[in-house]
Order: sequence, then C-alpha cells, then structure tokens
Amino acid sequence: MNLFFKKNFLIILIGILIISSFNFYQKEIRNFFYSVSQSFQKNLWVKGANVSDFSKSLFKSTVLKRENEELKKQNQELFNQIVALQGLAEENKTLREALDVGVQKDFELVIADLIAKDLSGDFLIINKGVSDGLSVGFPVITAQKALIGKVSEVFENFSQVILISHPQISFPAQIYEKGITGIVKGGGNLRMFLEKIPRDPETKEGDLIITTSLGGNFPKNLLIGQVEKIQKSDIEPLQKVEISPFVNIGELEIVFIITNF
Amino acid sequence: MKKILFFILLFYFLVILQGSFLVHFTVGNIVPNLVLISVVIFNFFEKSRKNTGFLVAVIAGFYLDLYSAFPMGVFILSLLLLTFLIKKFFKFIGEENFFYFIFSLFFSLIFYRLFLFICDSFLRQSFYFNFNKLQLVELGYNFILGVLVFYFVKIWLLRKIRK
Repeated sequence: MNLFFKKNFLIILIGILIISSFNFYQKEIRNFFYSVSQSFQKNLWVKGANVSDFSKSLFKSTVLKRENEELKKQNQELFNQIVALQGLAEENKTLREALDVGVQKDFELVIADLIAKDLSGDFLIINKGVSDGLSVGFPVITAQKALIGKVSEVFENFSQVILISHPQISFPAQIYEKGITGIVKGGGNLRMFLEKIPRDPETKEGDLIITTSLGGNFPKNLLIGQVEKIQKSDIEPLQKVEISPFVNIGELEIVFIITNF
Repeated sequence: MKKILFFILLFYFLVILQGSFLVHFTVGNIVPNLVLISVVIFNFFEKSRKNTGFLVAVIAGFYLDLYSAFPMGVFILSLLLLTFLIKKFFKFIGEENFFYFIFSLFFSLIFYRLFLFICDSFLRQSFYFNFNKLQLVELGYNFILGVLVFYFVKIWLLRKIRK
C-alpha cells in the first residue's frame, strides 16, 4: 500500500514539475504551436464565418426581405459613388487602400490577421508579434476605428489581445457630443458597461461612446459602442449603462495595431 | 502508442475547431466547449478502473493551456481533477446509465467554471463572482450539446459493437 502511494506521489510530483517547466518556455511553445496551426486556423475561421452567415440567412429570411428593401433604397444613393469608383482596377484593392488611408492618416499601424479566439475568455490571437514591432499595451482597432482591445502578451510571431470586454479592463471614455465622462468596465463574454456617469445631461439609448485621451491608454475619439440599456437607481447619484459593442468579433478577419499615437 | 497519437491528433483538431470555427456559432456570446464535453464523455464510456481518461485530460488540458491566457498547467490540472472526480463517482455508483451521465455532465460544467473562476481570482488577487444569465446560457448550451454528442457517440459505439 505504501509503495503504491509512493509511486503515485512520485508520478504526480514529476507531472507537476514537467507542467511547471512549460511556463519557462511557454512563449516558445505557444509561438511554435500557433505557427504550425496558423493556416489551418485561419481557414477554419473563414469557413466558420461563411457557414454561420449561410445558416443565419436561412433562419432570417423575413429580416432579409426587409433589409433587401432598405438596401435597394441605399443602392440608389450609392449609385453615384459607384460610378465615381469605376475607374479603379479592383474593388478589393480600392477598399483596402481607402481604409488604409483613412486610418493610417492618424496613427502608425501594423495590420494583423485574426487567427483564433482564446478559449479562456475575452482574448484573441493575432499573427503579428515581437518581430513585427509589437509590444504589450498597444491598442488594437478595426478599419472603422472601433477599439477592440490591447495587446496583452507578445510572442515572436504572434500576440494575444485582451478585449475591452474583459473584466480586467477599465478605462475612461465619454459619450459623444455630450461631454459626459465615465469609466468603461468589461463585463466578460463581450459585455461592457460605462459606469460612474452623471444623470445630467440625460443619456439616451443609441448614444455613441468614444475614447478620451484621459489615462493615456488609448488614443482619443476611437469608437467603443452605443448605449444599449440604462441602469438607473433612485438612490445613486451616478448611473451605469450597458454598452452594445461596435465590433462583432465573429465577423472580423483583419485588425490594426496602433504602434504610435 | 497508436491510442496516444490518436488522442493527440483528435484533441488538437477539437481545440482548433473550438477556437476558430465554433467562435461563429455562439449563443449569447458563448462558444460551445467541445473539448470539455469530449473529456466528460470519454470518461463516462471508459471503465472507471482504467486510466486512459487521465491521459486524455492531460492532452486536452495541454492544448487548452496553449490557447488560453492562463499560465500553462491550469487547464491540465482542472481536467485531471475532473477526471479523478468522475472516475470516483462512477466507481462509487457502480453502474453507468444516462441519468448518471446527465449528472456528471452537469457537475463537470459547474466544476470547470468554478475552477477557472478560482484560478482567475487567485492570479489577479481579487475575488468576485459575477453570476449572471450568461453563466446559465453557457451551462444550458454546453449541456444540450453534451447530450447530443453523447447520443452520437453511443450510436457510433453500438454500431461498432454490432459489427
């Protein structure tokens, strides 16, 4: 019996030592695995997005009809713009250039592909790392200047991005055109709140929330989301709102990392 | 050796599938936890005196660790503990039927979430437990998926036995 316990204890001890030793080389191990799986993961990410779009469209035929009507109207309005764009060679190239110019005017950027969503919470993995000049704390945005998060860990060729919805994240933000400043706090699972905001002037659903230069973590005027639900209390002088994020992580493929602002 | 290689490849595929493909099939922002469900189902169908479940827990946990923001070892430890508890449970009960599976799946989902919460709180040195509807959605979504996968595996095993 004693021998049995000694043997098991030894196995557990060796196991713990081996697993703990992984932490000394975790950057190299993770970088290696991400490199090996990168193309496979990227393919699955794109396939997942396509299959999900297709299945959603099957279930939302009525919504699609309505959207189709609205799009027809928009189509008319966009006609002139399309004519203006006809001279350009490739539509994709044009859009990319337009986006690049729009965002790159304000910041120094690095473009990265999104390869996976971290399985433990509000994290993403992107295919740029130390070798591309990234370091911890760099803000991560979309082409539409919507803030996603910031780089939380860098490997040789990959990085982990902590989303602004992570409970660990909190930073100052303001309600656009109202000058109301509050604190954005992550609620986990892509949920966010704007806390400690005064009752006056009145906050309305749909109000835009943007970053401020306070705190120095993020550049000002980046989009965060819209006010979704206002949580008022008769006792509290300050109120809290739930934010509906601008970014749907599932639809993202490319992100931009701000390396200088 | 063949068995080990099979599990290494299977869980590699499952982890990548979960992190890349299933991200697009969320319910209330919850990604289904196919890896955890697979570990629970494997331990259910394996005889409680056999130890392959521990190997499966280490392999699955290792991959989950690679794709997480936690230090290496957190997921290995959580799945090893879970495997140990499931095996003890079935050894104590002495029989395996659908209702016991339901119980072990339910227990595993709660244990897994609590374990990660404790590790997260310990690492950040701030304890809070924000129990909200999302935890219920997570529980429900994974529970339904777990039952479906259980039936698929059961049908597959029955066909294999008949052959």
